[in-house]
Amino acid sequence: MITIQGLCFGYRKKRPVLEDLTFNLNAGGVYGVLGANGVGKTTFLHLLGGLLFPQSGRLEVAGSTPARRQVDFLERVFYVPVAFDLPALRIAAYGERYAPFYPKFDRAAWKNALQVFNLQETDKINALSFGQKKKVLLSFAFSSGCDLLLLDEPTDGLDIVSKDGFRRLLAQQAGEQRLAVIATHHVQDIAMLLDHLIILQDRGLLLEAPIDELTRRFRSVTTAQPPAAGAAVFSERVPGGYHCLVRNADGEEGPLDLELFYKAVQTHPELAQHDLHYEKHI
Amino acid sequence: MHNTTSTMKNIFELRRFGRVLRYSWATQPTLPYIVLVAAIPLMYIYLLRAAAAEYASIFSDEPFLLFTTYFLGCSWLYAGLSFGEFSRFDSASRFLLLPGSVLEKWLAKVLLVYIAFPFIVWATFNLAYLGLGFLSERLVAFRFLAIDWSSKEMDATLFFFSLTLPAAFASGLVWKRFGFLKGVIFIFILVVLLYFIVADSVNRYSYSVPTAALFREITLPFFDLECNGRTSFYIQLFWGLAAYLPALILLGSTYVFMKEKEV
Repeated sequence: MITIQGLCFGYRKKRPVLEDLTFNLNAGGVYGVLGANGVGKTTFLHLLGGLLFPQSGRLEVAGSTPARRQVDFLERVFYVPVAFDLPALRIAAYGERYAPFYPKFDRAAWKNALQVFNLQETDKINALSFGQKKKVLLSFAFSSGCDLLLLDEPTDGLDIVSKDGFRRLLAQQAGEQRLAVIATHHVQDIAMLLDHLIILQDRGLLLEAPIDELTRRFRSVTTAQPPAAGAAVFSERVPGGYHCLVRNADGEEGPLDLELFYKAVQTHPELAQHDLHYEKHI
Repeated sequence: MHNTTSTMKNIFELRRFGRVLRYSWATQPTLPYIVLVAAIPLMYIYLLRAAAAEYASIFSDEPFLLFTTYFLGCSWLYAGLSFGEFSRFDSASRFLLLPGSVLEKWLAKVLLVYIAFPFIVWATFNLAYLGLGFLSERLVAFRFLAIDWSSKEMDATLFFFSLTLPAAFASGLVWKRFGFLKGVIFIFILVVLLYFIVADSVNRYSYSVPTAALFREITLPFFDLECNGRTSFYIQLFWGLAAYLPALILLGSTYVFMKEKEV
């Protein structure tokens, strides 16, 4: 669905933020984009949404060039930014105003999403808290019928129950034609739903791998004693013991703490380069 | 055939344009409206003072000058703020990602800036002027002289309006922060520069009668010209082109700015 070839972008010409990115994102998946602050996660989403234009390289989303912002493209993409401002309307009026712009907007899904997030259509948006406003925007995103959802820190500001609601709605969204790209620091909030993991580092792609592949190769375990030398790829001390990332010897999928895996890859980038030999769709 | 339909769909669709227009109307700047209404009491005080100075009625162009200031001032403010969404990331991204073509979004803004808002200013001034005149006559026995809306001065006002509005309109797109303010400074510098260029040209070409007439008649082409028909035609043509062409180019360039806008 998304083809990226040699993509380069920088806010200034001599200071690239993203350099020579090449990979594909396929429809029917939930992609998590991880990376340190300032590494270019939000920039990456903006490029996918056509809010920023690549300096060079090729970027195609479902056959369209995002930078052209053609109607065909805009009708299929919905972006939920970290910071946003919603108009001072009632929720129902917000839906009435924006829904006609999206041909596949599903009113039943809209009502359902509002219900999941415990929002009333009669509520005034400007009287809501940040988290509630975010739920309005997420409800709309999930009902828009868009093929591509770009979510930047979607669980930021959501309470525990709402995060659960978010996961349920995201799981309902998953379809063969749809793709969600989520940039986040709170990977645990969405870990169960991710199909693919993208890690950005030093202006480039450190890792792009299916979660299946990762869980086949690694798993996380907690031990009371520090792991023996060579027994764990990475470990960290936690209250009550050690949290370790170990290689899956038997090839079976095991529980994998993505946050731990992320830390491991940050510390040992060679894990991403040598241990993963999955098939890339380029 | 399919490609043509798809291309057309990406350029303009009447129903969608209606939606974009509705959206633009709903998200238009509110400050010019506040200024529009807040200026009415000030207008009343100004007119009363002017009327008092003339002992009962105004036989001067004070109400017209007031209207001109009101009309141009409010319209510039509106045009300068009409791309206010670009000053903030969230509203800019919402606007840019709204499923509508660039042409539709641009046209909706142009319609609001050039037709809807000026009409509202016009109507508001007329209503306020009538109401204030009625009040003055009843309360303090002053009468405001009627404005001749079909005068050449009105043509000049509209000429100046259409000439300078694109600059204010473009300023909101070009500058992210304080676009309107920077636009005003830009227009001021432009006018000053233009004045010196013209003044210099008048001196330089004073030996050539038609050329000198061209530059001397910078009081605007709609005023009476004291020269023969042919020279008058060329003067009007020159100023028409000199004024409208850059204005049209600037207005057209706002479309390109919008198309190329990033957050």
